[in-house]
Amino acid sequence: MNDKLRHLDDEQLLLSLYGAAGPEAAHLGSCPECAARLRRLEARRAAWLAAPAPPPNAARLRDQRAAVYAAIGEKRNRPYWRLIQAGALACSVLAAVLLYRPAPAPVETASQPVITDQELFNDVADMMNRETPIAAEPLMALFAPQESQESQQP
Amino acid sequence: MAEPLAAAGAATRPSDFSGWMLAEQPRIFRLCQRMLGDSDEAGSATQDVFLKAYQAWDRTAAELDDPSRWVTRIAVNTCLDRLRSRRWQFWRKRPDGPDEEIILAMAPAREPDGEAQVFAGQIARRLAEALDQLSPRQRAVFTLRHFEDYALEEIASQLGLDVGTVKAHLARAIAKLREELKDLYGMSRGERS
Ligand SMILES: [Zn+2]
Repeated sequence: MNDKLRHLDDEQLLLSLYGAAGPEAAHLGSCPECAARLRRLEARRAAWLAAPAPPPNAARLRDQRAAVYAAIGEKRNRPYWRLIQAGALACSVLAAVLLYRPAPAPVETASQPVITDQELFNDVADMMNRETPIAAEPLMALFAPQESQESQQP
Repeated sequence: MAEPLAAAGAATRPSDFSGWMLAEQPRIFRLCQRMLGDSDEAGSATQDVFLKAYQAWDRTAAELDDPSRWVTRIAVNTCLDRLRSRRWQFWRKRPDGPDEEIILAMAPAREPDGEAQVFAGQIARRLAEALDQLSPRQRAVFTLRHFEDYALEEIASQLGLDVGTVKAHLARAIAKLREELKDLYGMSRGERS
């Protein structure tokens, strides 16, 4: 009842603007003054929303993509790493077993992995020396050329 | 233009994903900036968002009728996580000055006159600080409604809340922002004493 006679305060008006007003917003239907305040606010907000926001810095976006692709490359590489790590672990466990037993069983020797320690270490060293994960290399080349234009969407 | 990943050798998803990321990235980055108030952190969050999207791309993308909505949700949740984790930080970098235009919408009784312009820098700083005072959820709701112009129902869906809760968060956010910023604009012209 009282709300009918009382103008909306700014906070109530803002909530009306955002579509989150309570029952007190019914006042707008019977008060031209408050309705006009809301319309002014809506117009200002509409103009603000329609104004194009400045596009983010292109170099910054490119760096972000590069980081994403690098992370993707690393993830892709992981199975390879795990294989190597598993191989190394298997070798050392087997070696420990072999060393511990006075007489190694011929069956076990036959099942040794084909990769030698030297090859394994070479592989690991090779990978460690790479600046870029193998799987990411094809991607990296694509960042070198000019940036394609990026339009922003409203 | 078609970008990168096709070269990486994986079957069908790459080129789709790259082009899609290129198109969505500016919007997602800006959303993260508004949610987090810090460009560096927003950049890091944007990377997280697209890495998560990539990892889910194969099993999810085919069923998506609205990938934009999907990645927005990932972004909002990523930013919420970061906002929550800030509570455990002892220090925080100064936020970038966000859009001082917001203060104009917060002050409906005033026109954007010279006075507002003079203090634009101060307003931006104060607004950043005020936004930092919001809870993560209040900030998310306010950002999505005010900056992104999402409907309340859409915000509810994005955050997994009901619309009433979203309204409550929005009302608390607005009340808190106005309280934090009250010295920057004339107080209510309403008759509510
Ligand atoms: Zn009125």
